[in-house]
Amino acid sequence: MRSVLGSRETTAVPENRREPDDGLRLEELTVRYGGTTALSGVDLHVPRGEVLAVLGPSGCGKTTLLRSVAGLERPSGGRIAFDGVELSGVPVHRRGFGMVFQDGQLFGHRDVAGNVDFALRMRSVGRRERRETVARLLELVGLAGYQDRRVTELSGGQAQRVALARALAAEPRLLLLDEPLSGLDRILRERLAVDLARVLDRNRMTGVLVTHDHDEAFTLADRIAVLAAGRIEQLDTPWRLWHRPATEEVARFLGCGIVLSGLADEETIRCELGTLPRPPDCPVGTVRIGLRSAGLRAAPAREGTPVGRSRAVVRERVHRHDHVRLTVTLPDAPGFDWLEAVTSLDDVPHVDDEVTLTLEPNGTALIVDS
Amino acid sequence: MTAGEAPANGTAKNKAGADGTAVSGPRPRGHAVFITVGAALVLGFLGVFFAWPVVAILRLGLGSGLGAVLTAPETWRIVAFTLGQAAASTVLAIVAGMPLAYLLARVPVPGKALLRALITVPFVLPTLVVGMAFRALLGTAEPNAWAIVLANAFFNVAVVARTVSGLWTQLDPRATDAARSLGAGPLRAFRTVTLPALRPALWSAAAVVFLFCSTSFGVVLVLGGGRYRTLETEIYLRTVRLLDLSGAAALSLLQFAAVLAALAVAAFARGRRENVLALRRSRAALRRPIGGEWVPVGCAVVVLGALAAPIVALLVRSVNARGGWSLAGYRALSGTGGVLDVSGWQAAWNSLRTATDATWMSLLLGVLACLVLTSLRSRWAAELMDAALMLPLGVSAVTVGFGYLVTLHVLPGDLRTSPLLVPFAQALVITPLVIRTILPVLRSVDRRVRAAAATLGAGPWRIRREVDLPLAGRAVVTAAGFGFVVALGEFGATGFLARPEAPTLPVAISTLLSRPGELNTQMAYAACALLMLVTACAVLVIETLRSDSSGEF
Amino acid sequence: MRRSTARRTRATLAVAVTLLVAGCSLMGTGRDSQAPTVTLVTHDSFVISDELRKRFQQESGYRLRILRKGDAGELTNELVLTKDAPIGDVAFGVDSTYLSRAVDNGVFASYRPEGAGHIPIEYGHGANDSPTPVDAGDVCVNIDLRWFEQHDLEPPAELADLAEPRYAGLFAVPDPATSSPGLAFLLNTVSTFGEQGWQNYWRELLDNDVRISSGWQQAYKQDFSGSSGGGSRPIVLSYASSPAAEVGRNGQPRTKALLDTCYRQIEYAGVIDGATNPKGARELMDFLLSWKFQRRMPEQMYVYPVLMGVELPESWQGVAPRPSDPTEMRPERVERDRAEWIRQWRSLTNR
Repeated sequence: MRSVLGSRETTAVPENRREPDDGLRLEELTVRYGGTTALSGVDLHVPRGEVLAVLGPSGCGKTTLLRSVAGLERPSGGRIAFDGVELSGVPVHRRGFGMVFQDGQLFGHRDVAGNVDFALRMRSVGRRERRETVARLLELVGLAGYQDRRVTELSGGQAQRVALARALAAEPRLLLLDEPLSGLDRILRERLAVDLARVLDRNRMTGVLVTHDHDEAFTLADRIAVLAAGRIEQLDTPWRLWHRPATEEVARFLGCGIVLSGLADEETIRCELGTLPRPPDCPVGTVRIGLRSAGLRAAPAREGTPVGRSRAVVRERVHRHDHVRLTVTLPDAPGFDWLEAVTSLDDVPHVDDEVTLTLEPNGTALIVDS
Repeated sequence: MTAGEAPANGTAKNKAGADGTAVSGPRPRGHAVFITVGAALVLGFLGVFFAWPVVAILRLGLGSGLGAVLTAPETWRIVAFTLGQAAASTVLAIVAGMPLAYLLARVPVPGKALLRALITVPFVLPTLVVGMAFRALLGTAEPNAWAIVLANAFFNVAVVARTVSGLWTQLDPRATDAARSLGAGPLRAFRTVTLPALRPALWSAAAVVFLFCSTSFGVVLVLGGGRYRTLETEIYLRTVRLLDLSGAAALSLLQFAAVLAALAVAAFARGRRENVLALRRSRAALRRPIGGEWVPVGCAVVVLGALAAPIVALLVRSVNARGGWSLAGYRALSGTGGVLDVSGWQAAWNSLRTATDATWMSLLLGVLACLVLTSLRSRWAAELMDAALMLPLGVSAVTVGFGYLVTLHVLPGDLRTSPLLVPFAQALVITPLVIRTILPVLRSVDRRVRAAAATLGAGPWRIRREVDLPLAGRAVVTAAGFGFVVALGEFGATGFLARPEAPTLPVAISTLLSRPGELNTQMAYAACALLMLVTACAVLVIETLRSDSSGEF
Repeated sequence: MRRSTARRTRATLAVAVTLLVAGCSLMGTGRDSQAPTVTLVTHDSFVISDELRKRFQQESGYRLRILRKGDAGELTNELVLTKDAPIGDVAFGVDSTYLSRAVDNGVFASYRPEGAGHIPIEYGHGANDSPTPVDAGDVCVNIDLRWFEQHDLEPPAELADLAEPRYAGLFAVPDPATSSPGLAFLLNTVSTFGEQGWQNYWRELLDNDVRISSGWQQAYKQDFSGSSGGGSRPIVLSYASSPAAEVGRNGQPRTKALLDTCYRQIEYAGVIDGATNPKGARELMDFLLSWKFQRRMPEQMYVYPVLMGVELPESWQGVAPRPSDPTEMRPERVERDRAEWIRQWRSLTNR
């Protein structure tokens, strides 16, 4: 299942730069519940200072992975180590890992300050120092002055910020984030994602983020592991994952609704819907092209279709915030069902108009077979 | 929708749901030691004060006569009636208790603490008194099975109302609102949303009530008039009056089997459904009923009236004598002499002292048991221990009481004659109630909250102290109050224990009732009134404590 | 600000409750007295005034501890069960219905208290010197005098009368299986009508709509019209002493015991074999059979003292005299057939 590209990229960090005691390391991690296998043989390495996102659909085992690292779950096999120290016998509260849960999981019986200074109290930090730290952390997450609020009075976004501050208060050597933004509405999510990214960056946090939302992963992570059915499908930088998914499954998970076969020559990659320039890392030969919704650009048909462009008829039209999304059919290529294409706001075709389609390199991904 | 209802991701959700443990990863060694020691303490108490005496008295009887009892058709008629009346009483108690639970959980009633106190009062009344009150109110001097069911329900409505309203208060009302907005009528919304969520509490209450009713003694004796007999009255007859230990042992074994079967049914029905609930109390939960919601309120008022009727009758009796109205009973109660060797106040004080001891003992045991039960990783071990702790509710008080006689002298200090034996025996009965009150709350605490605490550096102990205890705080106080009330009412095994000195109020009442003379009768009813007053005050104090320490879910 | 007040209230209340708990606990009580203890095991009806108890404690130097256990039947059975490890030094309240069981099982040690010589021969004391009779409680049929006056009906005189149609629906009796006086009444019928006749008599009573309830409390306090409960039945099974408690404000008795329907139950006391304080036990026995204790028994326990020369209280003399010729039954016979009679009675009455 695992593609060559994926495997190659897993070892993208040169061997000589690896230090044995550097950051989090999972080896052959396997977790089974009775008959079901939640994780099978996962290898991962998160160097210090890096944030790794584990991306995958619901039920792929990503929460189990996070809980295993936190020590909330007992692995059936494999090894978890941090800075070279094996963790199998270390209980949760001694691991020094912070965790931000999906929906905060704040302590309802404590106020905001009581939540944030929990970890400090666990370490018997003095009262004054606690107060200072809480104030600093709340400021960091944009909630200065919220100390005495009851957590039940907070909005979702505020609760999540408190949860983050609470986790940071423990000064964790590793921060685990379990879908930290998924319970929030879109605008809040985007703003908090940026804030979170800044906090992680500023503190040079080592982190593992688990999410099903690639936006979240792309915003926050240095590298991303795609997990499916308990296995790692691909581990890569966000750019490579987006543009060079290792398998069709990964491509589809990352929004490529259509996967086409293409042929790459020295200059271009050609496929049924048009041509693309060949990027240097793409080998000559057959490739597959994943098409996202922004992968086809439509323009009103003028006299004569230029070479390399397909003709299409507009069937539906939806205005989005900065573009117009069309649904089109291809009269010349009955093999295709309805396709999606985007067009700019200034020259919008009408339904039943004829348009020409161009492939948009930024909206496509290349799946390079071995 | 709310915090706890959002589906947890991954397979982890399907696991460990029932056992409520937060952490199934590695644990510090100290914690394992704690679980072992805690389990040993709880089971040790159960062993010494329950299993050992019961087994000892059964062994005295077993051997001969077992077959004769088991093959007698008479025996099976008694078994059938025992289970039948208990089941009917349980159903009635639930039907009558639900509107009250609704009233307590959802309707803004002024003076709710007072209402709670009123609902709890029936629970402490001596069964003899209630039996006689029902006999008079229903005008049934002849044996009457329905009167038994009614009286049993009367006692146990409080169990249902308290248990169910506890959980109901904490349910997020928005789930019902959502169902209503999707087109469900109020009844349908209740059936499809509220009822399933209340199931753990309902089954809990049903199990407790069933056990109480199947071992109900005084009521069956008074209202059954010898014609309607249960395993409990028959075991009493054989043990206490005939010293037919072998017959009693055979019946006790039957009772055991019936109780175990009932517990198994309850456990099965409860299943793994003790789900994570959104423990959230919002002020919006309390609101004036509208439209059809007045129906349950109306039902609650009717039930309250029915609960109040025997109580009012008792109060009237305490001031009404043949010669007209008089406070002679109360006056006599405050003096000594006559057939009581203490005054009513002293008896009330004795009651308070015994109940206090029983309460702290059962709280200690119950909380310990809850901690162990929620720490056990094996669901079966937890179920078994849970069931074992419930058993004392369903086993004859006579068997336990007589069992003490033939065993406890072996221990140093001869507990058989110690004033502490009564609270010990009461603790045995109250502990399962404490567990039933606290455990559902602990189990419904989102385990990820505990996980969060663990990742913040709290060890298992700290999690217990910092998370579980505050969240279950209300439940602990509720349990304490309930246990205290049970102890005040002298439930269970205490009826057959030696009572050194100091009569408690229920004992004083029974002594007074067993003497001829108008004044004695009036004093007995006045003592009942005093008992109710003490109970109501205790409940009020506890309610105050509870709402103060409520925190917020 | 408001929250801190609430917290303070809560803390105060918690402290108060803790103090109350600490103050309430029975822990550490009962061991305060250094004096050696003598333990009396008895039934729930035993009453001793503070004054008498203090007197005994002063005179003997022992602290008196009282354990109460149910009724005579329960008491006896518990004494039998604990005979190898007794729970007390003296037992009071085993009655003639259960005497044989206690004696046969060797519950009592031999001791003849000082007062024993003053117990009249009618209490059957002589062959056995232990246990010793201490009081008699005669179980008799009681009637509501006013009811009979108002209905212009001749009251019944003896047991046989109760089966007559004119007394139909008037009699209330407690269940022999679950009540002590009920059992005494059953024994009375056996004794009066013989092994052959008693079942017939009960059939007649049933035909005559006798009301059977499980306890004396229901029969006397609820069904009987002469007591404060104001029931509908003017004839009830109770004690010879009961009328003493039912004297109206005008000093006139409201009820009367039919002295020809009585069955004598004698209560016994004795030193328990294996008592930890046998010396104290003997002193307590002497006390129980002393004039000063016996004299107080009627008013405290509604029983007749056994000691010769102890007079009944003035209030008893007219309304609750001692029955002169009550029925009795030998304890050995009761012990032998009691269970069988109860069984027969239950099947007879379909209970």
